[in-house]
Amino acid sequence: MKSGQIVGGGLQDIYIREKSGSQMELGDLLVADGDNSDYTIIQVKDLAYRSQIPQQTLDLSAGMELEGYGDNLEFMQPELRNYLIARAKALIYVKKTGEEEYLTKSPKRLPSFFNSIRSIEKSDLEFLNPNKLEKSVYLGNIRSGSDVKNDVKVHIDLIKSLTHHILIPATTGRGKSNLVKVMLWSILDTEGAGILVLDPHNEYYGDHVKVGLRNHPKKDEKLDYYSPSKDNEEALTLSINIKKIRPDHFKGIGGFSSVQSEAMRMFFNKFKENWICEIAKGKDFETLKGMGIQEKTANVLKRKIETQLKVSVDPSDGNKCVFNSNLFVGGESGLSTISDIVDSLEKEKTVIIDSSKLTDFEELFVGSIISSNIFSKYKNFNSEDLNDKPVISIVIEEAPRVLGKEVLESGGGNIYGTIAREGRKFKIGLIAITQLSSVIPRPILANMNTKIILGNEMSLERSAIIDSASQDLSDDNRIIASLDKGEAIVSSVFTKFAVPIYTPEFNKFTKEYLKNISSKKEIKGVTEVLG
Amino acid sequence: MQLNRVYFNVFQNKKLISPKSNIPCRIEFLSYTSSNFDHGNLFFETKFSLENDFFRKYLPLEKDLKIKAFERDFVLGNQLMMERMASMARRFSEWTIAEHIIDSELEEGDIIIKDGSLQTSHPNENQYVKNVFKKAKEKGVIFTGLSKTSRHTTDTRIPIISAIDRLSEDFKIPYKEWCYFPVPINKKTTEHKALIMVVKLNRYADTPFRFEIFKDQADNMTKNEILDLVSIIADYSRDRSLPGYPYGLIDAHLWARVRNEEILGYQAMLFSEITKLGMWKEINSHINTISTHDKLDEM
Repeated sequence: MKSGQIVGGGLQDIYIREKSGSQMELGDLLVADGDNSDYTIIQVKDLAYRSQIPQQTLDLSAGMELEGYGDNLEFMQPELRNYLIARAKALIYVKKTGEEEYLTKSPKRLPSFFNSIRSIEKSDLEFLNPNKLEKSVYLGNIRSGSDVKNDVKVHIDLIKSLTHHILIPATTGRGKSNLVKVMLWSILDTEGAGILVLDPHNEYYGDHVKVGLRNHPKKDEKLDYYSPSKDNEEALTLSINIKKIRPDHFKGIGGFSSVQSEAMRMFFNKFKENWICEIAKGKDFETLKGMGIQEKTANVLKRKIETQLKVSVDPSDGNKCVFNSNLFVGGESGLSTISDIVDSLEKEKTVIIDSSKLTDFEELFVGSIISSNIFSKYKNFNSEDLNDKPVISIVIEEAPRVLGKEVLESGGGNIYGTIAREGRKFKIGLIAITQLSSVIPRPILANMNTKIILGNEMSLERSAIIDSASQDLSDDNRIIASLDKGEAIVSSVFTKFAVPIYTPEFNKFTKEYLKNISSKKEIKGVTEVLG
Repeated sequence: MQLNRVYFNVFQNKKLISPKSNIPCRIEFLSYTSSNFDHGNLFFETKFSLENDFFRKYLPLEKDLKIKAFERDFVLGNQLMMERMASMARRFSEWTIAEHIIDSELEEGDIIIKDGSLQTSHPNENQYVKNVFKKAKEKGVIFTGLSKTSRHTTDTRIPIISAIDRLSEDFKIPYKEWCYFPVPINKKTTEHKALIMVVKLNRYADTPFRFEIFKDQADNMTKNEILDLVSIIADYSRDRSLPGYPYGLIDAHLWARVRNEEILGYQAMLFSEITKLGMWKEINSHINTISTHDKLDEM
């Protein structure tokens, strides 16, 4: 039990003297009780040594100790005279107004001076939302410092949070993938959302060795798995017929100039669904002139089609189109892949695309094709129809590849940028994962209304996250830097304060889940819903 | 006007323990000392103002604080004479409170250390000292005092503490902690009922201190018993903040000291009341004559 006493400060900085042996930690959630069934939750933002003994004396004393003169000396009443002062900030004021009824306010008043401080308990968090939401996504358990409160599970509103985008910023090894796996597992259990996962490390689905979403009991009804690899027996084949590709799918993807994009549109207008093959075949000068395309531009397009889509022609076979990859194909195969995926998403399924064998371009392009199809479909629904549709969220790793300032400014934008800005209106959102939040434009960062912030030692990145967070995290710089693997802060417009969480390790989480399912028991602990 | 604060603490096995009785560890009171001529004699009179009347039982009687100035006091001048007389309230209350502590907090074999000498400076004080010593003797509590400073000098006018300290160095005594006793005192001060010692309580102490034991008790102690007593106090004098000075007295200093900002608060209240009485102009002119010294200090 941690405890202390308020000894000074103000709303920004409440100073708490720690009771000796309390071992307060950065990020600890503490409670200052009021007199009328009310209390204030405060969080430790910094810790410092303090002594009643003058610094000069301490320095001298340390010198004596170090140089061998320290015998026969001691600190009398060390627990009284040498101690820690915690700098804390009030997060929220809570007043119990009735049975399961609470009034919460952002703190505009201070707890009483010299008030005792104690560790947060489960009952202190009951105000969060006793009316549990039906559709929610599990993020982890509440955490006070590094003390995980396993009996207080943190969920966030599924529909609102996905529609308003989620940003997951962190450096490598801080538990991003684990968090996403846990979230996706939880989403498989609920209804109301279709999730498209572009999985560049093929880590979400799992295999015979690694536990993944394939182990979820609802896998058959709720999970689709696509891979371009024909060896992957568990996966549906990811092959896209080039007839389904439109010029606007390339928007902001593949580095096409505006002239090249215009030329692609001209080809499409003239040759319709065969436009890519026609580019690959090449056209004579006169034809190109008739289309208003320069020969040089057509040659670059041809080369790009060959290298990026791996579509070429075989001169020995009457200039027939040749498809050199499993991904982009012709003939009659792959014609329904995109519509199948879109249908699955509309049926509230999670669709994992194994993009581990794809190039950067291929991965983003496949995502672009699917996303564009969803976006245009949802955009055309009237509001009544749209209401009945599930929210669709696209999980995109290394988000700056499509949301970075440079990409958005130079390529004239792309579908991911469009979704980031406008997707909310059409129930389409992004779950953007990144190590480099600072390269994402501020308006897009600000549009990501839920941020699940994991550890990050890069100061510039922390600043970008803090500056665009939904709560004032200006004091959390050090806390974010010190977050260990699995620890995170959820800052969202849908949470009453920035909630510190710990996401359990996926393997253990699923093991417990499956154990409980098999014994038909509910998961231990009471579910608290934030937002 | 004087803000007085008297504090005590009790340590057992080197741990601070809470008082057993309801005696407050910190007793605070305001005293007002005035000077009046009565039949050609200058008298100083002190009255108490207590925020908490509960404290009154721990304080000396106001009648005992009506003190006639001796001829030697006039040598000090008005200001110093007043300060000395005003300090009587605190000095006397230290004795009365000590008596209560012995009575309600201490047991046979315990030691009480008073901050300062056991020497008295006024006839009215003697009765209080007698009462305390009587109580200490009855309960078997050893009464001692430790002074940070001492005015005693050798015949050659060297401060006695320095002289003994130098002696210990010159003779290269093989002890890191030591005590020297008895320190002879001027025979004129017959009222002084204490064995005076000079003690170096820690090897890292910058200076030895004057230490006294109530004479009646010291006379009944063997040399080893006195050394044991000093050793116990030495064991409490190992704190890094001031080696060689008993920690209880360091703690007492922290809690009993009156900071300037505290006085300013009371001063403001006092001035406000004076203003309400319509006496501000008159009083202010007196204050101004005294405060010139403060103004110079601020320059």
